[in-house]
Amino acid sequence: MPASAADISLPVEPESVATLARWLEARADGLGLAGTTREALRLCAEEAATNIVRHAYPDGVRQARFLARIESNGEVTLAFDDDGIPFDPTRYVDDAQAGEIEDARIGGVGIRLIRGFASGIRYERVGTINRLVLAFERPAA
Amino acid sequence: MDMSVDKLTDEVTRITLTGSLDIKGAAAVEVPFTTVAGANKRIVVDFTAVDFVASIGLRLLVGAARTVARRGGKLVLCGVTPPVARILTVAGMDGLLPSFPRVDDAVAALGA
Repeated sequence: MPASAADISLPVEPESVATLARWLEARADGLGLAGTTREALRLCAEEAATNIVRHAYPDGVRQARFLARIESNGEVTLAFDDDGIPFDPTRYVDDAQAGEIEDARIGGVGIRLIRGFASGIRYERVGTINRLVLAFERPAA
Repeated sequence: MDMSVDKLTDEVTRITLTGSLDIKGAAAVEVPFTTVAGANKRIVVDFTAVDFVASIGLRLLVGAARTVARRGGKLVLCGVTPPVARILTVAGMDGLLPSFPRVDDAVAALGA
């Protein structure tokens, strides 16, 4: 594991999203992340973790846990592993948003945000594991 | 996340949110926010003290705005900070949730 890597294992429950956010704040401090990179990291972490907690285990979590790992090697990457149902967000088809509030769709917004704020998204199914890797550009000092 | 409600005019209700509208914040205000949206037709949501919004918070806002619109009313935002404005734009919500710099502008937009 690179010297600038750290990971955390969390139970699949809503409180873990906030726990992850606090943990990432400390990691972001350590990495000297600021501005838009830090904001993008926070938002994408929230969206990816919320997706796991709310949708990855439709039949119940059975004491499931998920893993988040942050690495910094020029760019910053944030990876998530979970053993929930297979879901590849890179293949999600995002239909155009309605123009009127009465017709607005609410689903899929989290994936739209990840696509908009992460500089790269990679997904692979490794055995029974969903592995999502999000990349974030780190502005030159 | 904290939430307070006051009347700006006889017809316009302001909901002031403070904190992060993330999964925890949205859960904290979902019931009172939805209740206020269900009982008023002209609503300004003051975002001046909101530092972060996630999709689950946008879901709450859009759901409330849709409820209000279907009754012939309107829900608008004011005081949105630049980081939150970027999230609204990327989410494609900026056209659905009109935003104004100042609360007076928001009230004027509601025609009250």
